[in-house]
Amino acid sequence: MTLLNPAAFYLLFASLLLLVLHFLRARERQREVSALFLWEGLPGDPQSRAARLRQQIDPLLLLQLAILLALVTALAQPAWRVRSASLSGLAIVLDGSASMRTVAEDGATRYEQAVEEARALLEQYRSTTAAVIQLSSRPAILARPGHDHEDLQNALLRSDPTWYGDGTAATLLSLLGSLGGTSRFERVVVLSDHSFSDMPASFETVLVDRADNLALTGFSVRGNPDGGGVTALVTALNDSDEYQDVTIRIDDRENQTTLSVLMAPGAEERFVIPFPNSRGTLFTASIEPADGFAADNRRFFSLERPIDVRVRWLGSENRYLMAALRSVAPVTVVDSPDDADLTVVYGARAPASLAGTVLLVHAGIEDLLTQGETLPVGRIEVLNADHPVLTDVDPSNFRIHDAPTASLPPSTDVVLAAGDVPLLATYADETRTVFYLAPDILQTNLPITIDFPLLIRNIVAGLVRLPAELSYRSADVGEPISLAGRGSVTGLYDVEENPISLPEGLLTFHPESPGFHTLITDRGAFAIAVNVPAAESAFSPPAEEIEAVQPGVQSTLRYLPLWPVAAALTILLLIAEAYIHSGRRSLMRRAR
Amino acid sequence: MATFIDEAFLQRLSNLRFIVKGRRKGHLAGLHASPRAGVSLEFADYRAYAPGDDFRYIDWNVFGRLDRLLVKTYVHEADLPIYILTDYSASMRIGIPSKAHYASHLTAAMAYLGLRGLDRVGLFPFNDQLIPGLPARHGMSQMGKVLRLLRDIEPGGRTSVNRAILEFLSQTRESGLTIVIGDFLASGAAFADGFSRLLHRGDEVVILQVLDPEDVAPHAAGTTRIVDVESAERITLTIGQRTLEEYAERVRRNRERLRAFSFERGIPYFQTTTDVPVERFLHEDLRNGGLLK
Repeated sequence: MTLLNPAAFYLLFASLLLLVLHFLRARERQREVSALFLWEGLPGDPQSRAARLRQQIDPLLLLQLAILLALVTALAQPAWRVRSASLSGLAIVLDGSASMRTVAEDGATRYEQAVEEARALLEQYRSTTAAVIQLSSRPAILARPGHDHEDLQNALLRSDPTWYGDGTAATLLSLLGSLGGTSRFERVVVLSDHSFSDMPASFETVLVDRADNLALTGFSVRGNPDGGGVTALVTALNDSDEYQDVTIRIDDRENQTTLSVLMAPGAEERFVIPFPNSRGTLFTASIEPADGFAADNRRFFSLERPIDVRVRWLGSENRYLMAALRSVAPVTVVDSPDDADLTVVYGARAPASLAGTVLLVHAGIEDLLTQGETLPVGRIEVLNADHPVLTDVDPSNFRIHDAPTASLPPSTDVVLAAGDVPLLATYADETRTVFYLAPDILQTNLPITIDFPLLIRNIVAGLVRLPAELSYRSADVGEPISLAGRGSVTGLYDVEENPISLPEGLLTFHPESPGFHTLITDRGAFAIAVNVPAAESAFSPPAEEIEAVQPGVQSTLRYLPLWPVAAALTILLLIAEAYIHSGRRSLMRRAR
Repeated sequence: MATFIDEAFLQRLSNLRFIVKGRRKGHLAGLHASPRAGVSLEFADYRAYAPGDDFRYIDWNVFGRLDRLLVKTYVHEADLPIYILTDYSASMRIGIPSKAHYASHLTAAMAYLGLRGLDRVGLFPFNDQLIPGLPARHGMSQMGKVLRLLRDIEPGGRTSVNRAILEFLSQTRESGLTIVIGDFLASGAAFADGFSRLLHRGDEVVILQVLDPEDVAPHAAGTTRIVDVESAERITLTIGQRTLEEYAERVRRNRERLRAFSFERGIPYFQTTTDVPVERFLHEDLRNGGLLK
C-alpha cells in the first residue's frame, strides 16, 4: 500500500488537542446524587496513576482518536498497487547524471544496466505509448511519446550518461508537463542509482547497481603568502561500510605530493596538504584505490593569476591618480594605443584621433571637448545622483577651489557641476567612451579623501572590464562559467581540446565534462578547471529512502484508491461515536 | 408534566382496581343498612333471613330449592378517601426519565383507579412541606385537576416526609388509603414518625418507592465531585470498583431497613426503578403484591 499524500499525517497533531480537551473535561467531572449520606465515608479507591489514567481514557476518547486516524488516513490517500495488463502511457526516466557512469562488478555501467531495465520495460508494454527522458541537472527528452518502440529502443541505445549532477523531481515534473502532463502517463518509472526524496509517490523509483564509493568531493589550491609553493585543501569521502587506507595525491604536472590516511566508514574528511615545491598552476588531486566511479577519484583545480589593466598615460604624471588606479586593479603602463585598455589624459589636450576608453582628468580632446577659462567653484551640485559613478561616493566631501569651463558635446551626461562649470561628466560615441573630471586634482582635496579611490574605481569600472576576482572554487560540470575579466575571448576548448563555439557576445558557457578547459583571449591562455558535482559521489541515502524505492522494475502496477474505505470507516466511527456520546449524555442526565 | 400522561395510558389500567382498602375497611352489606348510596356490591356469603332484612337480598332461587329464606351478604366497598402523597423534592429530578416523571405516572394511575372506583381522591405533593394540592373529591372532573396539577408541578427543594405527613394530617380529618410515593433515600428516622402518626389515625398506608437505576448501581469512575442535589453539599471521592460495591451495599441496606420498617407496621411496600415500565409495575408488582387486582 502506498500513501499518495503522506503529508496529511501531520494532521495527527490534532490528536493532542483531543487529549487536552479530554483531560480538561475529565478534571471537571461532577456527579449529582439524590442522597449524599449514601456516599459519605465511602472508601475511595487508591489506585496507581496508570490505573487512574486507564480510567480516564474512556472508550469515547479512543473512538475519537480512531476517527481522527481514519480521517487522516483517508486524506493521506492510501492506494494499493495492483497489477495491470496495459497502460495508458509510460514514461521511462533514466538517471543520466555522472554517477551513472560507475562501472558495476559485471563490467557494465549503471547507465547500461538502467538502459537494459528500460528496454525490458518497453518490451513488456509493446502497445503502450511511451516516452524516454534522461534526467540530470540538464535533463533531455531522448524520445517523445510514441508507439514505435523500435525508435524508443534505438533512442535508449544511442544515449550516454552525462557528466552533470542529479536532476530533481521538479525538473522531471516540468519536463513531463511539456509532454502533456503526468496524467498522460499512467506509469512513470525512474531508473536511478539513488532515490529522490521529493519524487511524487505515484512515480516508481527503481534502483540499479549500488556500490561503495571512495571519492574526492572538494579540491582547492592557494598560493602560500610567502610565495613559496602552494597549499592544497582536499575533501575526501569514504562512502562505504569499511575502513579504507587511502592515498591522496596532488599533481601540478611537474611535481607531486601525497598523503596517506585511514578513513572511517562513512567519513567525509578535509585535509590540508602542503605542496611547497610546486610552481604550477594546474593541479590534479586523485585518491587511491580507484573504484568503479573513476570520475570522482580525481578533481581538478586551476590557480589563476590576476590579469592587469593596461593603461596608456598622456600628459603629465600624477602619483595620486596612479595610486588610485592601482588600488582598483593591477596596472601596466603601455605605450601603444592598440594595447591599452584605458587611456588616461592628465593636464593635457589629447588629439582628436583618440579612441577607446578614456579618462580625462583636467584635460580635453581636440574638436570634442575643450576646456576654457578657470572659474572659482562654489557649491557642488549633484545633477545625476543615480549615476553609477557616484556609487558609495559622497560629493559633499569634495572641496574644489576652481575648475575650467568646458564645451561639451551635446550628448554629454553631466553628473556633478558648479554653476556653469561641469565637474564630472560622461560621454560616449561610436569610437570613444569618455569620463571627464574637470578640476586639477592637485587643486582639490580629492587625493586625501576616501571618496577619491572609490570615484576612480567607479570610473574605471565604467570604462574597462575589471579583472576577474580570484576564486578558490572550481566549477562543476553543467554550471555556468563566466569568461569575463580575462580579456577578449578568441577561443575556448574542451578537455579534449575540441573547440567550443560561443554565441556572439555571450561570455558564459556550460562545461559538459570534467577536466581542464582552455580559454584563449588577447591576454593569454587560461585554464578553467571543471569537476564532477560533489553530490554525485554520495550514494548512500537514508534507510527510509531506500525503503521507498524498488529493487527492480515491477511488471505492472496501477493505483487502486483506498481512501473511500477510510472515509466510510470514518463515517461509521462517527456514527458510533455519536451514538455512544448520546447514550453517555443520557446516562449523565440520569445520574443528575 | 402531565402531557405524557395520556388517555391511552389510563385506559390500559381499566382492568385494575384497588383491593387493599376492602380488606380493612369493608362492611358486609345486609348486616347494617348502609346510609350511603351509590356504593358497589360484591357477593360474599349467605346467612339466614332475619326480620328487617331487605327483601331484595333474599335469594329466591335457594328458597325454591331448599324452602329456606337466605339472604345474600356482600362486601361493602365503602367510599374510602384515597390520599396520594407524592415526593417532589429536588432528588426526584434525578434520572431520565426523572423519578418525578415516573412518580407522576404512578400518581395519575392511582388517582384514576380511585376515581374510577367511585372513591374520593386527594393529591398532596410535598417536598419538605406540603405543596398546594387537591383535597379528596369524587368524580372524573377531579382527574382533570389531578392531571393539570401534575403537569404544572416542578420538583425542587429538600425532602421532609415527617413534616409533610404532619401537615397532611392537620389538613385531613378522615382516615383513608394513604399512598406515599417517593424515593425514600433517607434514614428511617426521616419518615418513621410520620408513618406512625398515619397508622395511628387509622390510615391504610402504602409506600411506593421509586428509584433511579443510577441510585441503585451508579456508573462512575475516577476522581469525582459528588454533589447532593438537594443540599448542594459536596464531597470529592476517587471512585473505583470497591467504592461502588460499598455504595451498592449501603443502598441495599437502606432498602432493607425501609422494607423491615414497613413489614413491622403492616405497611405494604413496593419498590421500583424508573427503567421498569409503569404499567408493568402496576400490572405485575402491585397486582402480585395485593394492592390492585
